[in-house]
Amino acid sequence: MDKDKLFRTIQMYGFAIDEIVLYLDTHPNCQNALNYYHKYNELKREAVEEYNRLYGPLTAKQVRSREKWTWTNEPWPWERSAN
Amino acid sequence: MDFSMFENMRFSNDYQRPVNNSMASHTVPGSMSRFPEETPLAMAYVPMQQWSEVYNEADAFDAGTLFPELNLPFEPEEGCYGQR
Amino acid sequence: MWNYEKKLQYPVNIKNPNPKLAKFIIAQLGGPDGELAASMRYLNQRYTAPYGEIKGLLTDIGTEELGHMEMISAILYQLTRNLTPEQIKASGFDAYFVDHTTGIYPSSASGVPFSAAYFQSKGDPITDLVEDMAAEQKARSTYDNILRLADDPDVRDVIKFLREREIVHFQRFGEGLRITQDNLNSRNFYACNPSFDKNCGRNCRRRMN
Repeated sequence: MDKDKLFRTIQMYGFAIDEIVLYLDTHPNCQNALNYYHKYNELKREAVEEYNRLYGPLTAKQVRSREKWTWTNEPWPWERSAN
Repeated sequence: MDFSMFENMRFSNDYQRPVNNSMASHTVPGSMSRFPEETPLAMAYVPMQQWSEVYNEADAFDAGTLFPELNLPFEPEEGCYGQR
Repeated sequence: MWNYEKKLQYPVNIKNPNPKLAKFIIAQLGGPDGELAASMRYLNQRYTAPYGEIKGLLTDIGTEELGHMEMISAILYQLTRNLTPEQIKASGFDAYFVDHTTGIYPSSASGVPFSAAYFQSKGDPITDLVEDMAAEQKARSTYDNILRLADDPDVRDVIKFLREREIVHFQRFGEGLRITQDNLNSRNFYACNPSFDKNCGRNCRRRMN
């Protein structure tokens, strides 16, 4: 997938997970919510795996390059071009 | 104390707020909900959200929430009319 | 402990710098009802929370608020790019500029530096959760006011997202309070403090199953 589109997809999955985590914190036995969580966790994991493979790390633990430390590559999230 | 009883609480019309004389015949339907009688005083209660439909992830992202029933936007021009 | 993902929770892409907007939006960074205050409030309250659901909730919302702080900082950073001295003077941004240039420094809209005095961590779960509910409403009201003052659509889009999160957080803290109530004696919720008094609520504890 195109980098910007994949990045946006990861943001959307990430947000859905953030939101369902809060719901689960106060509804720990809600099966519907738990199913939703597992579904989107897996979708995000796959999307991040593709992003790491094609474009680079999203966390300092996802650097794959053995030639260069790519974590500090620009831009960083507060810059317009990163969004 | 079992609070599940007030998961289905409804807003009641028992409390009528009279408005000024120019609309003397019109009263505003109640906004005071009826809690179960044993509800302890001097405490704050928010209803537990029940699972229902969720937005797809793109709409959720736009709205800022997965849950349509929590989507409560800022609409100052809408005013207070047309509510239950 | 904390991990960092190199993305904002919601994108910030402000096409037009505008230091006038930055002057009041900074309230949500370093002001009394801003995201930093919210985050510090919840992350500090979580240590003495008596039940796992509440420890989780305070940790997770406290962490989300750090992400929101980052978004507000991104807005401020983008609003203050490439400014000329004339723009700085005309916008009234000069007072902040003199002390910080365009550096991001957590302070209120009136320039008061961030302070722990903006939040409380009372060590009593009812008190702390009610404080948290109030905090979310204060933040929501502040976002309402920002929407009254800012007409840039790029800014409004992000502010509306952040405002909606406050409403959701209010609901969750309210649910946290209900959970706390369920673990206390409903004949008198205030007989004791389950975060401190040894046998508080143990005899009437009904765990959410």
